[in-house]
Amino acid sequence: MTLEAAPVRPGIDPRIVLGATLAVIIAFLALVSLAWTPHGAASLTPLAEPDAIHWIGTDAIGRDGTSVLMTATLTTLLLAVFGTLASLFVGIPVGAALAVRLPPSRRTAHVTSMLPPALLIGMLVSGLAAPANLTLFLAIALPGTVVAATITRRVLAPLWHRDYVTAARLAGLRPLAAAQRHVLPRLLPQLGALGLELLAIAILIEVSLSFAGLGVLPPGTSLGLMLREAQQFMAIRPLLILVPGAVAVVTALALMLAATGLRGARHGA
Amino acid sequence: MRDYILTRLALAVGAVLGAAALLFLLLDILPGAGGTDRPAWVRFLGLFTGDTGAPNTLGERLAVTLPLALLALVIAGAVGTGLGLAAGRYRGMVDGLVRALSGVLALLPPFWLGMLLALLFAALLKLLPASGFVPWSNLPGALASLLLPALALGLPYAGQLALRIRRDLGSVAEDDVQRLRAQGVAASAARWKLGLAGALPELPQAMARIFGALLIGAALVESVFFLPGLGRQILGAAEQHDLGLLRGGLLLLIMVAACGMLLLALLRVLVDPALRAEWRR
Repeated sequence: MTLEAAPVRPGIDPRIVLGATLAVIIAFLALVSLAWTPHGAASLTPLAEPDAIHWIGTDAIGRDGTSVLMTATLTTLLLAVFGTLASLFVGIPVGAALAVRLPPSRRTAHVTSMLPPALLIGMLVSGLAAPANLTLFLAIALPGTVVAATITRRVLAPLWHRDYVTAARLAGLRPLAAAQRHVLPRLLPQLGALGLELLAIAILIEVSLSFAGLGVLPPGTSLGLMLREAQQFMAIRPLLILVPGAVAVVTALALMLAATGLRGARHGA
Repeated sequence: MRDYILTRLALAVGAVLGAAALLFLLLDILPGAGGTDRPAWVRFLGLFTGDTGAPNTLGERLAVTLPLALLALVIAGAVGTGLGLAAGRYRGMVDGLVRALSGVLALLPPFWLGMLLALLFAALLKLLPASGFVPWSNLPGALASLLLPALALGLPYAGQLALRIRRDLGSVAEDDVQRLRAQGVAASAARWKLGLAGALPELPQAMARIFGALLIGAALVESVFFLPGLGRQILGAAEQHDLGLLRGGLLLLIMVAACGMLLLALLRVLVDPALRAEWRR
């Protein structure tokens, strides 16, 4: 039997740099909307054509599209972040306990499997006349917790049963100390990747549910609601559909790219 | 094999009964649901017979949603398997392209892809209808009105399936490769053969999961294309807080999803030699 050497810490993956840069730029522009947007809440001609001043035109009630877009991105990001944090806070400890207590399992999960349950939960909770923020929170956090626990268990189990961890524990290191020294450095990037992936899917859940009328409702703003409100003017003002959707998809893609890099997978997701 | 079939059956029955109980608890015991004049057990059984306490059109709605989901399943299966196999067979540039394309496809929300397709094919090229549904009495017309929605619904799942098949094809045990090479098989042929043998038995269950997701996800695509489907009716019921209709619609959706997923998962019996060998013993 050969003992496995502890791994060398790898350098920073270019995918992390690209994905994180894009995501940070989008998040920064969204945060700027708190203090400044190009045209504020000024009422203009409804559904004006895009021009040099109003980049994507104005929406159905005469707000500047770019300004609404910045505010909407912030709402979407905040809702996604809250749901994701709740999933991680519950899912990771549960998954870790399962990994240490139970024998290793072959069960695995992919974050995209959150979408159908999220939609069902959205239909159910919204039907019960729950507030929009609660609906979205539950639709993200409930499937997110299950996925986070499953992935944490799947990732932690093999790390915990490595030879060098067993050797450290046999040498007298207590479980938590062994975990901190030998498991945590390899686990943290995996958990970071998990968080980014959950966030990416949470953004897509917000967009889908609000588009379906199950999430954010007027007079609020969110990327999904922008798509819902612009749907009937799609043929004459396609930018009002293309841009908010593209912001959501590009943000999700950037987060997934950074997650893939963080996970250190050589061959993609 | 018997274990596998029984497990699948139990999962399907459990999912339907669990969903029925949960829906009944949340949407019927709570005040505001319709039909409270009848006893509770009649209302519970009514869930399974489609009796929501008020006249409804759930059946004819399903006649739009189910074909849409099946058409999307065919598209997802064909495109996803094609892309996945191509990536596994030709490593290098083809693989890289497929990975990038599938990665992007897998993250596109189907309803937004539907809007893009409607803009491109209906508004710009004027090839296909952008919205509405032609009744089934006009078969080519009905299929034409389902084609764009099915593409929008199926393509993201094709991306997910391609990534999965590609990964399954790549996870081949080195020991097995060495064994085949010792028998005189070239390394690349050995990898391909072993990869296929590993990926094929996983396909039915992957398709089953995709079918469930397609059936539920159809709601949003139906709203984009104004199709009179079950999902769109459920969304309407949720918006109107019509709990009787919501309950009946959701359970019908879950029952159809569970049956379809069961049938697809059972196909594994046909493609998994390990399961068949177990049966002969």
